[in-house]
Amino acid sequence: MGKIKLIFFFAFFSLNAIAQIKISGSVIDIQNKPILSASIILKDNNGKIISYTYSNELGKYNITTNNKGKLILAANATRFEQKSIDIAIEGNDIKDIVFDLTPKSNELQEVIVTAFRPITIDGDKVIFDVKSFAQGNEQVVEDLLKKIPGLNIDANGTIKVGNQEIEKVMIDGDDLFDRGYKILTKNMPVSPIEKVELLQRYSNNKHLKGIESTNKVALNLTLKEDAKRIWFGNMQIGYGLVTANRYEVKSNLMNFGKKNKHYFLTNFNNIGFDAIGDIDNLIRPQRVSEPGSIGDDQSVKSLIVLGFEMPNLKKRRVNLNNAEMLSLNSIFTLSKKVKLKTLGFLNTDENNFFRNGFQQFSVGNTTFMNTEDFNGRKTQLTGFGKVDVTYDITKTKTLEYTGKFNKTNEKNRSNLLFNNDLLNEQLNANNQLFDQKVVFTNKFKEKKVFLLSGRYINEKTPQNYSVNQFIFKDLFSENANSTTQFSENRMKFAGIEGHILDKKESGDLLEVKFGNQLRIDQLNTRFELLENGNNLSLPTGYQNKLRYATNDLYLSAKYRFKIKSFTLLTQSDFHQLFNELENFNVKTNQNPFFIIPKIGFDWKINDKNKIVTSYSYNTTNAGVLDVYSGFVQTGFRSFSKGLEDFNQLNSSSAILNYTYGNWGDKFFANTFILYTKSNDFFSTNSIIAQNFSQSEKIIIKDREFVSFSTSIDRYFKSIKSNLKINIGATTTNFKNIVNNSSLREVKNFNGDYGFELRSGYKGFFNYHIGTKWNYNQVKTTTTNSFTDNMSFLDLSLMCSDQFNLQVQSERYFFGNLSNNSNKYYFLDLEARYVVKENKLTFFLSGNNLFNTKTFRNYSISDINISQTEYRLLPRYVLLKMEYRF
Amino acid sequence: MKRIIIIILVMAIQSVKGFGQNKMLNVEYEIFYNTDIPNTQYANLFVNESKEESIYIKKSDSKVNKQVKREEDNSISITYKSKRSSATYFNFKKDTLISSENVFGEEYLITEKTPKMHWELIDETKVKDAITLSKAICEFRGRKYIAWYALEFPLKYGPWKLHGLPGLIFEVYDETKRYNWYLKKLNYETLDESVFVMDTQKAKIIDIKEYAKIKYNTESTDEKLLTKMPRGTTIVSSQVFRNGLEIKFEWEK
Repeated sequence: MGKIKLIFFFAFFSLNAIAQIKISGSVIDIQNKPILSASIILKDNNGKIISYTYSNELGKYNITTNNKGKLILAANATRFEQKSIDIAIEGNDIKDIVFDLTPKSNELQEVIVTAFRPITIDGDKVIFDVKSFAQGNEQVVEDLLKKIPGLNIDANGTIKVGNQEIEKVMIDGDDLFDRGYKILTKNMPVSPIEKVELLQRYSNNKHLKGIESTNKVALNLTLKEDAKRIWFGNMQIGYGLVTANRYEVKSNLMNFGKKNKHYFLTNFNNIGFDAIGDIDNLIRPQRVSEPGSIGDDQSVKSLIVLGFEMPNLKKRRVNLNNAEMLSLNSIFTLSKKVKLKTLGFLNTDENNFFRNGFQQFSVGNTTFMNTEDFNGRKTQLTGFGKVDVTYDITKTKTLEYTGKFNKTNEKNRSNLLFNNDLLNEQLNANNQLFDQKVVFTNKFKEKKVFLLSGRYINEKTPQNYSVNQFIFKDLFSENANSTTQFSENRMKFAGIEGHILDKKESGDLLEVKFGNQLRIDQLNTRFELLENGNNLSLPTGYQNKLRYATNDLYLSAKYRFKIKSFTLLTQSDFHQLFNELENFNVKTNQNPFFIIPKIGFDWKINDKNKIVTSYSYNTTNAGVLDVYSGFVQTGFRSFSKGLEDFNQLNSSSAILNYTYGNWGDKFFANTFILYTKSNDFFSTNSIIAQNFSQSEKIIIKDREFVSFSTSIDRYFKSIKSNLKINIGATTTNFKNIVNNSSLREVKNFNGDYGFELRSGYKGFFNYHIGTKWNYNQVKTTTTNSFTDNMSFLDLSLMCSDQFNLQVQSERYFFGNLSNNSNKYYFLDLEARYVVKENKLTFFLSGNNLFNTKTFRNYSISDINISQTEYRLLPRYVLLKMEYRF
Repeated sequence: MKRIIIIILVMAIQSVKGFGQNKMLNVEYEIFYNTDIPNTQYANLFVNESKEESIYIKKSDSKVNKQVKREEDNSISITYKSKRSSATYFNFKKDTLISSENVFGEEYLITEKTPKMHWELIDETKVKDAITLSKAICEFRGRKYIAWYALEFPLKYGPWKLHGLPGLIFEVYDETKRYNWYLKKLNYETLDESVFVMDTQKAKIIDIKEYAKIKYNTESTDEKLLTKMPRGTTIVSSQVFRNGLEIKFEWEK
């Protein structure tokens, strides 16, 4: 009540203060009947509306104004002619202004409006006209996209449509960034952009649109015809504050025109950041299982790597690097139908690596211990070039050519204190890749596409490895004092494939692939014993001269159809192989034929319950590294060799996946089971001694592999947090031979379990806490096991849009290490302060703030127990500045 | 609650009586929802000028409602489809606004007093098909609407809950252009007054405050999803969006 009085008082007060004038009256027709809902508009001399109202049921109206002087009062009602009266306001209320309206002579019947639309929908494409959305204060593309409804852009710059992240952002249909589109959206100015297109059900190959089943989303920005070319980009500079000598410099420079587009990228750092990772997607676009991906799975493996293996930690904690990377990308539109894309990069990296540890071997009656203190350095230089040419022959036919060239030079040096011997290892390795691909796509009918792909790859990996000590006195009788090995693994691949995709009326998809792939591997290795740098001998059984050719003529048919809540996928692959092995000029041949059947079955029981299963019977043809006949040195004390023969291995595998609920539900559970039974498999027959280990491949029957994992999510409304429980287990049973034992059974069991709790508060604070145990067991005649644990606590403080703080902490615990070295703590912190959005930002990042200098790992296998200690990147604090120009 | 039922009953009886057929205004709007799944729908606004009532009915036979989504992969797609078309009924004489809406699969009739819209008239005009449209801006339930109205048609009506301008609304969209209405056509038709009767069957009658609770006080999906993310995904924005037409109510802070 008191409130109402107060309001009255104020109303009264204000009425007096600004002296509102009230104008009242009525609206009637020629028969003196009141006209209701007539609009009464008060305008000034310029026709500007000051105030308006509507007449009530009795035709009465009341209108107030603060204006004085000459005004116009107009009455308007449908089906009546408008009438206006000039009035002059001096200071008194004006009463009883009556409008008597006359009916309109010609009554309006119909109005049809042709609308201009800022948004047009064209099938799966939604086109936004930039003019209609821009408000003028946009700096970069991201600012513009934020104003386009339906797009959600988070503070990181991740663009989502609904809950789904977009695949890429293209410019005039050209893609320079793939998933790294933020570089573009956070830097490119808005002015040249005319339209934003949202592409739904996007396909990488435009002719496969609507045929391939996809739910990808992408954005395309079209440039104005007369857009001016501007150079733009950003730069991030970071320098160590307390601990000097840490730096990071990152820079992006771009220029987009209607015809040509350029993008330069550089990265220099010594904070463990892998710069090539930024352009990895451009070098090897992830098009796995997409049509036209012939040969993508073909590569050459190096035989030997120096012991740079990393512990299970974030890579940047261990990667003691000094990387410099420069990349240059361009797209040239040569004509309406022809487009040329080029990509090149140059990368140099220097890595230092320190570890020490011991391995406790225990096989049968043999037990011994080896200690290693390793200090390694790797320098690498990589040059890469890629050319893409796309030629649209007609609207439905496209020819695409891709050529790649890679050259990597790698130098590795190490000082290794092995027991009491100081070894000096040298490994010079190269990689040369020459890769050509042609894809012809023809959409010959509305829902039918034919692709013809051809590919030629030539890759080789020569390696020179030498050790300045001779530790193989038990193996060779020669009086050598050092060893060296030259090896070269060379591959030639040529393939041609036809692929038909036929989408049926019912929506079911039929795919037929046929082709021929020829792969020729040449493996040459030369192991030498040296005395004072001079060749002493080339031990027999340690040399290889192998040519292995596999020709695969194949036909694959795949059909997916849907009946109510069931989806059935059937696939059959027919392979006719022609294998030829030429070992030291001795030729053998084999021409096996086999069928790989696969059946998959999805059942959506109801909205909550879903089951996905599949079964396949696989036949795998041996690769070059399975068939060579002489021992190859693969480490400073290890040798291995292949089977010397052809073979195809058979296995069956079955998958079951059960999902309860949807990901967004309060309760969501997912269980996955994989069972693989190998009828025959590659195992090893090894000789393990203190100074060497030799293992050769053998074929053994029956191996079993079972993997089980389940995750449960439960959201608790009361604490606005989600509890996640993960349980997983893997067992493998197989047999091998060690030191001339009979076949011995090895059982591996790995189990993990853990939980996480993550909050979703609206406020400025959020947490994420979790822990995970990992249990490992290896059972031979004896049983070894251990349990490790990792726990983490992450805190996030969003003080404002300008300032936020992220804290991450971790604790590692190793159950089988001694008390003083079994716990490791890490703390990282990153503060971000935005001075001006998308212009200037400062970061302060503190890494490894507890300054944990080493990290010790414990592991077991069927022959040894090992402990390894790694040196880590020490504490550093980096002050970074990001500036857009 | 009872009153509303009575009103509706009375109206129903009146219409049964065949209370009358009248020349009424029929306005057709095209609505573009630029939501997660952009789509176009159509609606009719019928105005009975003599009774100061209007009803706005979204056509249920638009393409989107008919569209059957076929999932060929294991993707999860959530689409709420209302089986009945939604409607908004204004009665200015009785100062009531009744709207029907489907919230999480339940039908509701939501009642409220005709909300006051404080339009700011902007001195800006454009001409569309020889009709002069004037601009006006108004904040309504968390969204800022930009309307283009025609003084030539002195009617306070508009699409959905938007009303109260000195002329009929020809175009209106919210500031973010998420919701866009465009007038396509208007004409006078002889219509039965039963058009103005809201279908009450199966619907639960609630007032606007209860509606707000039902629609938004359930915990937000965005918020919940965030808690399921793996480690390494950081929360950089803690904003939670209300995504409907009405995202803030008068009684909320």
